[in-house]
Amino acid sequence: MEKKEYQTGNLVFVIIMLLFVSVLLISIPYQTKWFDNVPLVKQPRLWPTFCIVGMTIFSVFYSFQIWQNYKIKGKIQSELKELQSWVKPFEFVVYFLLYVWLVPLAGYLLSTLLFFFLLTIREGYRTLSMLLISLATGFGIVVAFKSLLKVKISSGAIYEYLPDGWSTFFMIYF
Amino acid sequence: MDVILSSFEIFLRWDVWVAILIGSVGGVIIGAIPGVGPAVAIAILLPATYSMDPIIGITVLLGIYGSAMYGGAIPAILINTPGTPVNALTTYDGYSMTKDNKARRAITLAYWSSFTGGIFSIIALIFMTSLIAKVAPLFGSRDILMAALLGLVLVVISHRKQTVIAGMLVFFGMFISTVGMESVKYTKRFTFDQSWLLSGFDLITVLLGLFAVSQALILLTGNDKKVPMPSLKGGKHEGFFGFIKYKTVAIISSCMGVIMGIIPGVGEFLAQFFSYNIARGISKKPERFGKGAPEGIIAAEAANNAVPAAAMIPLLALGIPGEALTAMMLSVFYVHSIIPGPDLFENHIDFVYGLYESLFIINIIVMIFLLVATKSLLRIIQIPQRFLGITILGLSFVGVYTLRNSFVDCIMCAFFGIFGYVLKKLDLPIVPIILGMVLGTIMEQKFRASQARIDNLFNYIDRPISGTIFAIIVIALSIHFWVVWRQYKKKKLID
Repeated sequence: MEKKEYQTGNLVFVIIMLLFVSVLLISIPYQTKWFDNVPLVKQPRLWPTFCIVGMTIFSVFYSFQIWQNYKIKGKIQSELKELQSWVKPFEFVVYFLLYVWLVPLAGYLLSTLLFFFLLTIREGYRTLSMLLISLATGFGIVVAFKSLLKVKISSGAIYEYLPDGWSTFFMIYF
Repeated sequence: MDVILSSFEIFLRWDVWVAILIGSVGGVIIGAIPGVGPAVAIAILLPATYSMDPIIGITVLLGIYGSAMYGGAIPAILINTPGTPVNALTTYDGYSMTKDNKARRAITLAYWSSFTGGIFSIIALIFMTSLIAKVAPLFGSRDILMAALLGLVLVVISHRKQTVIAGMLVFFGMFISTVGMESVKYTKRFTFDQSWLLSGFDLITVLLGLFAVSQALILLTGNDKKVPMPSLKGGKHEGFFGFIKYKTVAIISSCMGVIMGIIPGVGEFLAQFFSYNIARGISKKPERFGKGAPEGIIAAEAANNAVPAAAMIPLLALGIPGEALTAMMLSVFYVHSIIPGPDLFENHIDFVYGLYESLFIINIIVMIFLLVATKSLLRIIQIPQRFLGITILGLSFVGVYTLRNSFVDCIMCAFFGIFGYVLKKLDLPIVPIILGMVLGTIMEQKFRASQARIDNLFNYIDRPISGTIFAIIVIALSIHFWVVWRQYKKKKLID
């Protein structure tokens, strides 16, 4: 079997993947249907089963490979440290989802400006020039996609409180 | 000839020219920024191109695809950081030349080699199109099934030292393409009674998560690297004459790029790897390779840039994408009801020629832009990485939210973003998931479609085309296992 230098975190990854394929294997009879008197190739169960069995075989091979390498170079403390680093991006995922939630309420323009401004501060860029660049980038993205390319992004509920002419203008372009 | 001439009519439209300009210049800029790359840019722009005219949308994406590697050579040569992953080999000789105060020469060599690779592959393809148009209609369901299988096998074995995990991720991609309602008996598969899983996992959502959001998370959680302002030293003309001196290397590497591009699942990495080794083999001074050999830059860049046009062949002729970027383009074709395959060559050959001509013009525009604007492009390399992360995350929102204005899509995208983040941190490949997803769907469809003509398993390979492809699969696997076995024996001997 080919060997690649052991990368910390692989043991945790392979354990998660083995658990995942085990759940999928157990779920096959409940999550897919089997019809009597229907040829095998037309059975809805066939293709997912083939994929899961393939995944299982490769996962088992991979876990052997990882276990061999882990025994030589791995340490449980560094595995746990690596696991902690996987949690780090969740903070940004939360910001991203808050941004998605805010768009239909505050509108694309305001939400984007807020998202860029706050994330720029969060990332430690606190000079006036960086904050202005960040706001300009956000504004540029809104103009490029919503105003010029007219991509479908729901307009903000906040726009309804604007005077009639302004309301329509903001709903269409921002 | 008439078809070729009539296909030029699209260039009478101003919007086609705007698309070419945006795609080509945008592609170079994106390629020159380490940490972004064409996959992220195309994934973000995909939904925006859905509302455009097909030729406009595809031209923008083709522009980015065809020109990003030109730009990627700049940071590879100047700061030893490839702009796109496929420019990694250019760092070996390019950065060595920069250290010897020959940066300008190295960059000019890279530009002319990329240009040769790009133009060579397009000319080769324009001449090959009539042949493809004759061969493509001969492909039946079983042949396409085998071609897709070949693509998957090659994707797995081309991930050297990672074949086992690549195999697992291919099957994972194939599995997620089965989730949702299936189209024959209309039953639910792995929906766990969740209504939001009924329509399955959207390819764009997965793409954006794995490529764009994951990259944003990597940049946001990392540190900014201080990049000094690179300076260009050495003669521009010296680079051009150096390129002329090694034109044979450029032509051989371009041929290699075309051949590797046509084979699904192989792509730029193997093309440049083979070209580099051939160039070293025919060089009078092979010991210079890796220490500033001009032939090394020429081989890597010419092969890289010959691949994008060639990779369009299996996509257009059979509807089989050979890599993640062509998989993304496939979705644009489907959205505009242009179904790649034999029918495209029979009934819309002018569209195919139009694409090749666009690629040709893109290469010329990129070359002019680079010769004029390289100095200005150097500033782009200095954009702080974490700020890039904020921008990519903001742009990812546009990509995923414009699909259906769905919060659930964004959650799915974020989930795949974290999964992609973990894979990147562990240095595991992402492309097998995407190809598994796309080719898995094609394989299931063709597997079912071919049943009317199947009595036993041998019938899958008793057609000349499917039989030949199956033989290639067997040969490729045999070579792979033989190489692995030899490495194992060698290692055992050393131990």
